[in-house]
Amino acid sequence: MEVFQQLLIGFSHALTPQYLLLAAIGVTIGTAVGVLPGIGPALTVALLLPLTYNFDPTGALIMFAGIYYGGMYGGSTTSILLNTPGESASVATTLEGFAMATSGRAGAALATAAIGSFVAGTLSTLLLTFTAPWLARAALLFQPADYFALTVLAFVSVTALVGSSLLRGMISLFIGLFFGLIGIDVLSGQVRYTFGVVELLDGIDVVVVAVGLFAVGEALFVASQFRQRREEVLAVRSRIGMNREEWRRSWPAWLRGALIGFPLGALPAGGAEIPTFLSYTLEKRLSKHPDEWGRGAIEGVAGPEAANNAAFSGVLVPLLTLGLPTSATAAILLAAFQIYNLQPGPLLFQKAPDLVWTLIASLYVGNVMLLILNLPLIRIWIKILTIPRSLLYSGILVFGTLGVYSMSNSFIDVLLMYGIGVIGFFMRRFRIPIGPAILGLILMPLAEAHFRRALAISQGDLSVFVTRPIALSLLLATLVAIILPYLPVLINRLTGKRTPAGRLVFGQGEED
Amino acid sequence: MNAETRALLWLRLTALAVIGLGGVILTQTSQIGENLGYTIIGPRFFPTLVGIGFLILGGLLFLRLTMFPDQTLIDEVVAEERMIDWLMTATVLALLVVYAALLESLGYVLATTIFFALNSRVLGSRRLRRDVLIGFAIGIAVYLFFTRLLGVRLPAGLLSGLL
Amino acid sequence: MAPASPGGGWDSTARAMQTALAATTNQTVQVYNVSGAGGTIGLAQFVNEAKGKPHELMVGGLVMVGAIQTNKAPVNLSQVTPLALLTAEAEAIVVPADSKYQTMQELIEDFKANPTAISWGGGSAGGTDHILVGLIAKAVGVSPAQINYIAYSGGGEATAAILSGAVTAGVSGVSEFAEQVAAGTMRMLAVSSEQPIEGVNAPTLKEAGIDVALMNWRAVFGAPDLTAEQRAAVIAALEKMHASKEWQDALAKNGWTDYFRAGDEFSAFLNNEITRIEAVLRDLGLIQ
Repeated sequence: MEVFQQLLIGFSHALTPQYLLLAAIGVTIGTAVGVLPGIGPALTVALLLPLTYNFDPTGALIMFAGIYYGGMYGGSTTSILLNTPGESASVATTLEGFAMATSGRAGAALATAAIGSFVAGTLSTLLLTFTAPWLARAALLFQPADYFALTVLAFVSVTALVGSSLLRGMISLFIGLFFGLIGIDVLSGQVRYTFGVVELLDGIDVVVVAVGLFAVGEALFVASQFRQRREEVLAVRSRIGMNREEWRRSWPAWLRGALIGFPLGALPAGGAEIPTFLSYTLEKRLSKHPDEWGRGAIEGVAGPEAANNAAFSGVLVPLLTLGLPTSATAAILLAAFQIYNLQPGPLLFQKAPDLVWTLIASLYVGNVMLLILNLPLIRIWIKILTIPRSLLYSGILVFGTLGVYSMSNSFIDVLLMYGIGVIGFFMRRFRIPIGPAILGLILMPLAEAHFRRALAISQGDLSVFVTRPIALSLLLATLVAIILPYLPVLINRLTGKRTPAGRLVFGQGEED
Repeated sequence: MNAETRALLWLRLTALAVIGLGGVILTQTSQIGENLGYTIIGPRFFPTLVGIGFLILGGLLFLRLTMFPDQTLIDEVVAEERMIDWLMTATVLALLVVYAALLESLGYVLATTIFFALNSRVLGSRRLRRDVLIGFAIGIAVYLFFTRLLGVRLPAGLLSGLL
Repeated sequence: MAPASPGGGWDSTARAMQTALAATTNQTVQVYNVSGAGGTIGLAQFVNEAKGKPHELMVGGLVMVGAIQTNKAPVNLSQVTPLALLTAEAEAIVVPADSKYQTMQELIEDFKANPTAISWGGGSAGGTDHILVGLIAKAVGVSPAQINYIAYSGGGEATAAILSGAVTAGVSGVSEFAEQVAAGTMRMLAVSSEQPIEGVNAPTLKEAGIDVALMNWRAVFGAPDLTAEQRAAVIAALEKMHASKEWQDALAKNGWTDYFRAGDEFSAFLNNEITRIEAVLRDLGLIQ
């Protein structure tokens, strides 16, 4: 097969001691920068891109892949250990990851994140290798109506995030929706809810909200309850790796995560966040241990981490085959190509096959390198949790502030984050879950823009949402996803049996 | 006022805050300019939906608290209310704001050192000298890493001649 | 200062200047980014902090002119010192390869007959792409209230929308579409420059019978309140930079069209553009 041949040529370029060293350096630096909260993979790559200028194209691409995977993994490290997501795509990881860390299973959480990233990264790179041109054509079939239907499907995730009370979950979701409205409206250019603050014109960055609600809110909450627990540490002991049970439960989650992440990442307006939330929802629904969710279910880390990583390979599909940068990272990658006077696009595979296949080969190499370097590092990371609470939370606040401040150099943005932290404090206080707010913030701008675009294009004809096959099937999938959990209850009620505590029964009125 | 009454009052205030936010959102929609171009759904439509949503949810929460009290929730909030230390929460928040305000004038390294040491002390650490050293180490390491290696600007402040 | 995030057009312009200025002045030049709201956040900071400092420069362009007005920014370009125009890029109007429109005239005929049925996909509302559609509508006698403009937040997203056939026609910078046109997935109907562009197989709007020309220009501004001597000195440094090999290399590498106009010539150009853009944005309902 031609693809194999090309790929082998790619590997022959990538697999020399010199390039392996560059991959190792890239992964190390990428991880080091990526663990700083607020600095996600895209920014990591942007900041470190100049480093790669010193090498030939192959060397640069290999280092680049290393930096990327390192940055990505670094981001999940802070989510798990410090409850501080480095970027919007790690928010879903934070939910169960931090719960695992506080219950003494940080080692397992980090391991499943690292191995899951590797498995999903490799699997999705394989998919990229063999299905890219076909998938790119399929992705182009998506029109605004279809994207809107996709965001509707993603809203179903809220059912997995609401926690014990639907009402409080919905309040959280709406807080997120409101945050999502702030700023200049993309479609009309009109300013909404900035209350005269120019810093709000571009909307509120998800990182500002995530760091505020998670890290600052948590720190304030801990301070408010300090009489109860003084100088204790979060978790004294933690195993390094995963036990057999954890392996068994991680595997399917990794694979499902990868299969969700890759195609959705390939959509030109898909993004990496939606797949992570969908994966979280799916894992929660399929889980045989529904009682563990919220207290550290390993699938809740394994699935979203895999989806996040696979989405990156997905993002490469439109970039390499169509020349469309669809995420911040892809835009930076585009810049990297342009350094070598290459314009990614439909002609790239013909114009520079060596470079493309070297890049793809280097993705495999970067993945392996990540695993080799980071598994031993887990031992060091989990030591962070043995730091006394007082110092740990001071450190979290320092790094959270750094992440937001270094993005914009703006005092107002930092104050905004603290203000959101106060909201996060009250949400914790009154048992309003945090996850739905982040979901709402991410989905609101997408859902609104696609809905309005779809109707503008159809000139007001609402039937676009049901006449297009993609939109219709996504909406039907949404319906199924909503009804499915209630089906066993319904059937049992009809047949007069009591509900068994089996799978698929979350979301039913636990509230009462 | 005992802890239980206070907790219930807080929860009702939350419900009222949710309703109030809905009100603010709805009244502010009139501030959003309407586009003169061809528009099916304008920039005010979704804000109106969200505003109405807040009103409904706030109302439901209020009802839930007065007519069918959610005992688990109230018990949890009451337990926390007994333990709550407002002074410490406010102090941490005040320290944060002062920290952000001083970043530019004192510079990243000094502001971080001071914040880290004071905040750790507030949170119960009793080893001031160690905390100052750790804060300074974090500050200087981050500063050098960002400005020298990454090319990201951080304020040098008072130490601008030394760094 | 580049009033945009790293990787964009203003940022790469600033970084190319950094290289060229470092070479011609033998001084270290630093680039810093203040992103947001079409450059108005960066502009506000620049006006407040750079006052009277001749060594502070800011990159800006046509988008900023529009953004200042649509965002009701508290500052405007009259508060800074215009120094020199640097580059300019023409806009292109494209349709997907399987579209029924072969020429600009055919598209305009349908646009005149049933304006709202033609959806135009491009960048953010009030940006260069939107302004061009507004100018075209005005020139062919279509009411701005009938323009069905679908704004996208990034070039990649807009390109995907055009390729998917969601919108009738697409508007963006020529280079944004060049690759797609070369691959045969899009057809370029017209470009917005005064003169035909070498190597681009499409007529200008004027040649297609629409009296509109628009260039998406980028320029460099100096701090507020510079003295005449300071201004002259910086302009001299910029002229030297423009002549440097580093700058010419950067132009070639990035495919930018040289549009260098310094000092008073640029000031006159700028005032002209501000008046013209304001009129279009008012027609489009973006300024009330």
